[in-house]
Amino acid sequence: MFKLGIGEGFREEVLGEFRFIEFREAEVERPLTLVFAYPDTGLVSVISSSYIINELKLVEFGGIESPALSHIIVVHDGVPKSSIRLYAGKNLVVVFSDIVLSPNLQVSLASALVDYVRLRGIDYIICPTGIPVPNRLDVDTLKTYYVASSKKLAELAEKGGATVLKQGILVGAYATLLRESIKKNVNTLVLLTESFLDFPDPEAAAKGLQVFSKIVNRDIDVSKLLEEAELIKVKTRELMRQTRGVMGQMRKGIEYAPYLYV
Amino acid sequence: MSEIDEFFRRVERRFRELEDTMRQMIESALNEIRLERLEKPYFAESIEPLYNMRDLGDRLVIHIDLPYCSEGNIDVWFEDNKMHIRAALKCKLDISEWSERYRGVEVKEYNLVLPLPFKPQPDKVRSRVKRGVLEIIIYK
Repeated sequence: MFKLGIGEGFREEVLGEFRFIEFREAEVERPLTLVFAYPDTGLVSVISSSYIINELKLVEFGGIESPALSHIIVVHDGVPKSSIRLYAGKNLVVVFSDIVLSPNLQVSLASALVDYVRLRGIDYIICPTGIPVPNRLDVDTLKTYYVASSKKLAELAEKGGATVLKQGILVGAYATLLRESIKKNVNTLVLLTESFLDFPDPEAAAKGLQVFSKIVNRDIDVSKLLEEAELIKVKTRELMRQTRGVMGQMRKGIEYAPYLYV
Repeated sequence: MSEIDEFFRRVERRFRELEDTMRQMIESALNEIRLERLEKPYFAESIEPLYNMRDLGDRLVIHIDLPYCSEGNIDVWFEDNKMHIRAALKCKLDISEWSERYRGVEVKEYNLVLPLPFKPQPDKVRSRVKRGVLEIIIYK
C-alpha cells in the first residue's frame, strides 16, 4: 500500500499543454494500473470506467486542466470540478473525461498521460474500449481483442481471455497511447471489445470489464451494469451524438477497413 | 455622359444584383441549418433517436437505436420519400434525476423523420428489432 497525491497540500505537474493537479491523498496498491477513459467507440471506455469508479468506490484525488478546456467545468453535488478528473483506489487510477475532446486534444492528452505514468511510477496503462464491428446486431458472443506495448501485458491479456488483434487500424487517443508507450518503454494494453461504433454499447462495456477484472485481479460484478443498460443508453445518447461528430473528423470509420500490411 | 460611364454603371448594377442573389441564397441555406439544429432538443417530451443509414448497393440498411422501448410500441410509416418513426418508451422518464435543468420534463417517446434518397415500395421493406435497435432494410 502506498499513497498517491499529497496529504494536506497540492501537487502540480505541467506535462505538454496539460496541468495535472493532485489535491488529496489516495491509498493505492502495487502493481498500480492507470485506466484512461474518454468518449470513443460505443462509449465503451466511459461506460466501463464510470462503472469501475462507482463499484470500487474510487476517490477523486485530482484533475487535469488545459487552456483549451478552461471554459468548461463539471458540477457534481454542487462542487465545480475539472472536466477531466483523476480517481484512485485499490490498485487503480482512472483518468476520466466525460466531455468530448477534439482530435488534437485527445492525441496530446494521451501523450502527456504516458509521461505522467512514468513520472508517478505507475506500473501499467490498461484501457478497456470498443472496436466497431459492422454486424454487431447479430453478434451474440462478444470477443475482446488486445494490443499491447509489451510482452508482459500481452501474456496478462491472454490469461484474462482476450485475443490478440492480429491486424487492423486503430484511430484516436489509444493509438497515440500505444505509440508513445512503445517509444518510452511503458507497459500499455488496449482492450478492444466488439461493439457498435455510433450507438452506446453497455453490453460491450460489461464484456470488456469481465476481461479487465481478470487482468487486474479485481472482482467487478457487471450484473448491475447489464440491468441498467437501457437507461444508460438513453442517458448517454447526446454524448454519443457529440462523439460521433469528433469520430467523423478523425475518420474513425476506417477502423472497419481490412488493412493490407505488406 | 459618355458611353464608358454608362457601361461601368451597368456593370456595377449587375454586380449588385448578383450580390443580392448570393446573399439570399446564403441566408436561405443558413436558415435551413438553423431550423435543423432547433428541431433537436437534448431532452424533451419527444426525443430524436440515434440512427445510421448505409447504402449496400441493392438496399438501404437503417439502424435506429431505441433503448427503453417495447417492440410492440414502435410505429414506422412512409410518406413520399420520408420515413417516420414513433416509439413510446416503456414508461415516462423523469429526466430531472439526471439534471435539474430538466425539472418537469418527462420523456415519453422517440420521434424521427428521415429523408430517404428514393420513394420506397411498401412490399420491399423489411424490419426487425434486436438489442433495442430497429433495423429497416429498404430494397431499391
